[in-house]
Amino acid sequence: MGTWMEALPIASILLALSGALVTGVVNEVRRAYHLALWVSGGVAVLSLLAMLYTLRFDTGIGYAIGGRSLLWVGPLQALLAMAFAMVMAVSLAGGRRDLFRDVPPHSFYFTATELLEAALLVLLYANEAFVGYVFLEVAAISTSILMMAKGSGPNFIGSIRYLFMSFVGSGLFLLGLAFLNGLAGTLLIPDLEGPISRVYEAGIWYVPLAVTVALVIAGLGIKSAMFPFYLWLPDAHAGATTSSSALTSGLALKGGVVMLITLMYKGFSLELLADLGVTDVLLLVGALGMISGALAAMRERDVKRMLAFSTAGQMGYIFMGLGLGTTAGMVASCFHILVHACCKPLLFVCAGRLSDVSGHHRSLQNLRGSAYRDLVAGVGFTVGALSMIGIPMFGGFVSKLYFSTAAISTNRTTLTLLTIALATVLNALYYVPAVLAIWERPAAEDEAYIIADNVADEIRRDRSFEAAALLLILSIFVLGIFYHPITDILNAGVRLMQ
Amino acid sequence: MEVIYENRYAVTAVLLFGIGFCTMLLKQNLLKKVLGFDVMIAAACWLVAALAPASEETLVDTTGLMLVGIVMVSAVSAFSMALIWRVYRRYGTIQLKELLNMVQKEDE
Repeated sequence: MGTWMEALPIASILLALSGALVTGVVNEVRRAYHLALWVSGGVAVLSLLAMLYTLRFDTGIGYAIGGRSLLWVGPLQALLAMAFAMVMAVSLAGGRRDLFRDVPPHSFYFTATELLEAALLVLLYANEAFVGYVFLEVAAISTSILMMAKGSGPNFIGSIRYLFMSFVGSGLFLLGLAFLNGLAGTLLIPDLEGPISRVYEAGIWYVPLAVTVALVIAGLGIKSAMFPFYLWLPDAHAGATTSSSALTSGLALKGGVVMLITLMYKGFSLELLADLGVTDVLLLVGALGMISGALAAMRERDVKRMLAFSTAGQMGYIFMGLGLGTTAGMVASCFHILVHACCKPLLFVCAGRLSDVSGHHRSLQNLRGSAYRDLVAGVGFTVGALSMIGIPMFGGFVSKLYFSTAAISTNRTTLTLLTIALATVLNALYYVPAVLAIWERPAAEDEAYIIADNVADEIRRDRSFEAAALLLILSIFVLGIFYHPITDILNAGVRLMQ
Repeated sequence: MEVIYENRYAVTAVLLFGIGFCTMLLKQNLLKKVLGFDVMIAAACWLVAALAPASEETLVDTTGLMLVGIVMVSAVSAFSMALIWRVYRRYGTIQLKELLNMVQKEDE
């Protein structure tokens, strides 16, 4: 029994890759969509079983390919893989109507979603840095295809801006890997710690080591919209189809971060990074991201651009948690990855639905009263917003709680707690007006103007969207109320990574 | 100078990386940006080989890494050029500043 269970993670990667191939040859968009849903569901089930297996036997699953253990799966990785697969399926379902309207046949849209899924799985399971680089590029191409699916001019430009920012990150990351290979003689992540520690203790190559670590972290950070490399986000999100926005914010940006977590914890070690001062830089960059993302979101009137800047702020939380330099900080960052992966797609699919029932307007002024035209979208947007602000009983509150608790045991407590408090207030300053706007009934002539461009086919009930939104709302409450089992899994996973 | 000569492959690779990186950042022409990316990644792959420890075992690994890296950069470049061609068909230019101005006017 142990043998076939140990094949589950690799089976999930092969399932995603096969799904990418098959959806590429399926002509009809609807058929490809259903196939993509089934594949994502299959990956979620396989990952759940793998998580239960690794928890039950308190062990990781390693895969030796060509004599080297290139992939390694623990409970943390399997939990995140399951969550990502679920969010992928739900994001596709939530934006289904827009997908069938916007995506032309033979566009390879669902090939891109399955490739993104496969890339995220490999990035989670990667035990060798170069494997991670290859699938970072796969993820970048897939994300770019998702962004430009609608085929409009602004989509192409947004996609190009993302691609070139991604190129900068890839280049720096690969340069860092070249130096790392020279210093350590290997790119296998578990085997990095020994040689790197010896180089550091010898003291003769301090600058090359610091530059190497900086290049690797900067490269991965740029790919994950680290401050200040997030200015491409609003252009990429604004015109993209709903599912693409949800997938880009909720999943695509997480690829670099999960690779970073593996390298920081297993490859470099948190103590070395603290000695080099890298964690302080990450903490500062995270804090600046949290504040600047929130300030930029406050200035936006377009709901999708506002959510895009909010994503930049939320990624700042994750980098801040990594910058605390402790295991507790890392667990808090992993929990926030889960929370954000559920909240942001919920916000985007609900914003897409609210826009559809409001004549495709996206400004908050013209979204007034939209919650009454689709109650599930209104409730979903409200739940997502309250979670992002950090109201108790929602997932966002728990991740803020864990960040604050992790900060107490460090010597950066004051800075961290003040930044979290300020970011919370700033988040409230743009989410609360947005929530009030969708629940405010406009004057009759304003409402007539808003709904003048409504298409009957698009405003009728969308059961697929409702199911997706309700599932995401449920997951936010689960993360907010029943979070102990989830953090136990994250703690077990982090312990096994040592 | 002796140190530079002994490490001439690594030094050349770093210089090429710098040229590619600057081209990618500073040029407005999208095609030139992609070519800069090509040069940058090829130089990084070369640097992997130049800095790898010299032994028969690592030679095989390093060669494998370089080949995979070059295949990746080819795939990404091909995709980027297809995207640039679509942009040119739509806007008639591949200068980034002009494109951003056109998109801004469309939004207004």
